[in-house]
Amino acid sequence: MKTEDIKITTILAYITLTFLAFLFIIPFVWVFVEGFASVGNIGFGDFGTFTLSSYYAIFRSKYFVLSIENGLIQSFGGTAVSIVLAIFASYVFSRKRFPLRNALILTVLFFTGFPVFSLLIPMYVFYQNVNLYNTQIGVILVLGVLNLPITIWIMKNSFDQIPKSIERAAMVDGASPYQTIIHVFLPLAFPTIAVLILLDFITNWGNFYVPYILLSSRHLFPIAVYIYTYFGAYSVKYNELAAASVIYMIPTLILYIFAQKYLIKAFSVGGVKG
Amino acid sequence: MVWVKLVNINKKFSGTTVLKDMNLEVQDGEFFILLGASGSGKSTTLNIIAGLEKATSGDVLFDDKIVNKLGPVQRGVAMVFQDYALYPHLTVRNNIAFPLKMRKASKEFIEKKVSEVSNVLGLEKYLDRYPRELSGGQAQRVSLGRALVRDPDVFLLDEPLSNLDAKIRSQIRVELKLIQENLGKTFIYVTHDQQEAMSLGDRIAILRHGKLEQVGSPMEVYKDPVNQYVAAFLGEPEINFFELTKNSHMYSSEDLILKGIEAGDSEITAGIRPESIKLKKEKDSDVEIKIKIQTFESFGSYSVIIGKARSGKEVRVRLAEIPEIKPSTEMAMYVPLDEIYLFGKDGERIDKK
Ligand SMILES: Nc1ncnc2c1ncn2[C@@H]1O[C@H](COP(=O)(O)OP(=O)(O)OP(=O)(O)O)[C@@H](O)[C@H]1O
Ligand SMILES: [Mg+2]
Repeated sequence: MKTEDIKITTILAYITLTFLAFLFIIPFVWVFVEGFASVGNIGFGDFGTFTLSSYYAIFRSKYFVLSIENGLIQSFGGTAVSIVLAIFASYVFSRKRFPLRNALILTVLFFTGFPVFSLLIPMYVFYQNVNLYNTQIGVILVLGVLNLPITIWIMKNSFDQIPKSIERAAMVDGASPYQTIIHVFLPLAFPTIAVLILLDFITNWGNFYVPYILLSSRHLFPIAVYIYTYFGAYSVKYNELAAASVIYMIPTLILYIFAQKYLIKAFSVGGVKG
Repeated sequence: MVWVKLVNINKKFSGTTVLKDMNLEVQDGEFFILLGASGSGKSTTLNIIAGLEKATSGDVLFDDKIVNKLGPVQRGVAMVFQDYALYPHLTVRNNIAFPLKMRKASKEFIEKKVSEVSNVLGLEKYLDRYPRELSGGQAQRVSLGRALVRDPDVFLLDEPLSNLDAKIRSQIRVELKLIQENLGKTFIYVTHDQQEAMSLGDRIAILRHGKLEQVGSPMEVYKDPVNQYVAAFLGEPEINFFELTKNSHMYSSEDLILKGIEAGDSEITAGIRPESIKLKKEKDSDVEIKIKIQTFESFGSYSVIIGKARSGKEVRVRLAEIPEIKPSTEMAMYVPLDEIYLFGKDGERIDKK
């Protein structure tokens, strides 16, 4: 009886997992194959012959190349804003005691789950008034602030694990709070910070609404927005769209490879204790 | 040349008093011990001296100068932490160099200092290791090295040997004492181990629930404890206590009788150190106790008899020789009258000599 039960559940699990795997893999396979196809279509119909012409075509467009550049600038810029601000905020939250500290921490926690996109329209109006509308720096600031709560939350938790006596040792050794952050907290929390850089970048790289609402000039669009221009009014060039999508995935993949080491560390032991 | 003084220090943590009216003076170049049970406020005292923690009220003085508002660096203190607190991401070399790097010393100077200190502590072989690759004793030495490299006026050590096994502990204890004597610097050393305190300290301060019970040289506090707590805290095996009640002109219990003692309280406690109890009567005034031998432990150079007095109270007797005795026999033993401490009902000593 028992072994049969186990067998049935195991088989069911495998079937479900295989099904799910297919669901996830099929779009990848299609995108990859379609990018090299001579015929633009959806689904696994007639791909025509193998060709690089879709890739030639998209890279001939000045705006596509610009959109990669813009995407990198805005995503990394936003990530830098989140990380740098979070380092100082997390240090203060983790180590200092001050009035309203708990209230502020709860506020941060609240904003990690807040549907911030509901603020984008007021943001749009505000930006037009302060001349940040349709600027790279405007997008960078909003992206940075959007990721700030969750970044602070995770980084604070990792700072919390650094023993108090190590901080006190640094103080006795003559390190200023700033030096303590640079020489003690950052290296010890580095696995977590590397993972946060990855997560923030991916979120920013995939963010469509913020640049879409806060930018109007084509030459400022990041790739997340630009990719939608392949959906023309009358026809869609699916093979070019697929080629652009493949390019769109590359930075994320590269970052994953770099951060892999730290991903494992950060998710195993908390990564701090030597 | 630095002496450290605490004047009327009080410390509260969110309402609970941890230190009460503490007054303390540590002389320049002294090996000073803060001794107390867990939770008695030793670390808190040390942190206040270091400038890592602020007293709720009272003053900390270094050489007549009030330093309440100064940080550890301005006070010129170095500290060795109970858990070593080494930087896990730095090699031994960089751990030791850290304080110098923070003050932007030159590369050559740092190199010279690090090799000097690692020489003294025998750490040359470990300079390129990370803290997780060190044994407890080695980590302890690195932690000490990090303190030494700065050339501070005052060293603060918070139970630095508590994580080590007995053998390394006594070895490092000797090394520490030698280092302190060579440097001639002030050491303030926290421990809960009375043996460590007795063997290292020029003077010992005994702390209980945030109050200083007694300060003095190891022999002073051992030979002349001001109260029952101090008497019980020092000494191995522990001192024996007997409760006595007043009977016209003497104090007595089932176990012993003390004559010719004048005290206000009707009930007092007599404290007798295990080594004060002898097998032979030496003077007429010696006090007799009948003890039924239960067992004895031999430590080579001395042995300890564990027995029961008439009242059933357990008594320990420390003897230099290994006695020829059989368990379950009752023996008369003798204590010189002037080696008996008397404590009043409140635990304070009443036979001050
Ligand atoms: N930050 C703090 N907040 C609240 N109470 C504290 C704090 N630090 C210490 N205490 C309390 O103060 C008392 C003394 O603590 P302290 O660390 O000085 O003791 P200790 O003598 O060093 O003990 P141990 O031998 O266990 O290290 C303890 O009762 C402790 O609970
Ligand atoms: Mg302590």
